[in-house]
Amino acid sequence: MNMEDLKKGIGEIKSHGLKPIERQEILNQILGAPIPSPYGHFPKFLTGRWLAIISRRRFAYVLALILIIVLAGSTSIYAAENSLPGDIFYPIKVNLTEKIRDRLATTPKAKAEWATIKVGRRIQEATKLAAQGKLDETKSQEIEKLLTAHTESFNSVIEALATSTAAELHEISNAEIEFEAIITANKQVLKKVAEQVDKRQFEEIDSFKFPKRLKDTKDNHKDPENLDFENEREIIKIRIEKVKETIRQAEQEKTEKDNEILNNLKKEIIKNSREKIERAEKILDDIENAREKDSNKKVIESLHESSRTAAEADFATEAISKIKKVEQSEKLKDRNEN
Amino acid sequence: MIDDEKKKQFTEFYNREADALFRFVSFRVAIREQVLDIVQESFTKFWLVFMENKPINNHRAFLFTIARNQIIDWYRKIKPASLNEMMEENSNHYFPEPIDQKESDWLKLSAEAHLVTEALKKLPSKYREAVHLRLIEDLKPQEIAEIIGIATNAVSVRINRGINELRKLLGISKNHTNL
Repeated sequence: MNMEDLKKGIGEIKSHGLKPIERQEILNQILGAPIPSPYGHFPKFLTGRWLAIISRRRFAYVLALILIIVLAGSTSIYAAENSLPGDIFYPIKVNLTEKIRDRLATTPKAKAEWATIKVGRRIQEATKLAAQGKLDETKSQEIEKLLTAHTESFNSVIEALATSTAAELHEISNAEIEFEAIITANKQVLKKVAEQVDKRQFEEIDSFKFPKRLKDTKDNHKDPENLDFENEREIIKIRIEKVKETIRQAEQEKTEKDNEILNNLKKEIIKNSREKIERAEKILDDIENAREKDSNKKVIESLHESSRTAAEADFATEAISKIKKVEQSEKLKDRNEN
Repeated sequence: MIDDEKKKQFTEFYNREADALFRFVSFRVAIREQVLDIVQESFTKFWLVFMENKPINNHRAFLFTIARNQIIDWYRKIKPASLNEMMEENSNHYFPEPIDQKESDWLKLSAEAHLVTEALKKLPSKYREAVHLRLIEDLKPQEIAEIIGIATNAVSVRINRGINELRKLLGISKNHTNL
């Protein structure tokens, strides 16, 4: 080979290259490639084949992920709603779901009603725990702390209404009655439950404090001039009938012979509720006679007292259904064990 | 949005260098599909750096360096090189041999070109790369030094000795000095 041949050979090698179609295809792919994120890269476990698998069926994976989140979230929230102090889901109940509902209550009336419901929930939890013999010092303290917070939030709603109009005060007055009644009625229930379950726990339950008393309800917020007396009286009567019916049903139900604690408790509640309801009825009858001679203000005070007493009896009888649930769950437990 | 001016600059560069890079890779990798993959991957990596406005000293040298590393990576994947082999060759400057010569038949060469190619393949590996880049791709010694990762003087020595070896292999007299 001579020099010319070498140059020719080199020249020919230089003439080799990509086919036009290959050249264009590669360029298109380079310029059409996705631009990497300037904010960083995928974690290593998401690169390579895992990312390829996910990106191929992206929609299915996204849907599955959403379903998992929704199902896990709703299951947790559902479980939390039925949880008691000491349960793993209880913090979700008081710190998440109840906080969300706090935000949803925007009007003073809604806020007051929600605070009342929360107090009812705490008392219900304490009742269940006491009936199961699980109400220890830590749980009592936790419930007491929450009850204090709910009472304070209720008080703040009432105090904020000090300068409100008569119509607004009228709106809130029912919530106030309910709140006071639920405390009065259930405090007794709590005491009785604890007394029956364990003497030591009685002391602890008794220490439940409701530090801020409500504003004096004797200064009734109902506007004497605009009060619909007949309507108010009808509402109280309906409530009295409801409590009477509950008492009647509770008396007819067969009681479990084995569970003396719960039986005694039920009897005590029935007795207590009956006394209250009789008192409420009597006040209501007296009002009829007093309307002629007494001032409007006095009549309203009596109406208010009757309403409150009926409400207390109503809340007290609610405890009967809770006791019934405890009885049923214990029965189921026994059957499973056998 | 990608700057249109950047796209234009890159396309010009691509059209200028694509064939050279293809030849460079095809002398080391025999399977055509793999050659095309490496060419595309090398240009893609170059494009990403170019797009981010990162400083590039010499565009050609940078592109060939990327391609060279791609080839080494590919060989490591399919034929794990032993540590001893790499140490002997000096790991920084190690460059693999084509694994399947038969498949390089796609290069339809004339008799002269075939002889030159065969002679290049017979050159010791440390000369072969420098000679190929200088004679076939017309890269400057500085650019070759940047690609291989050695000093420019060392590259000049390799080119000189490599060309002398090539002459011997092709039976060209030393009187011909104008190469």
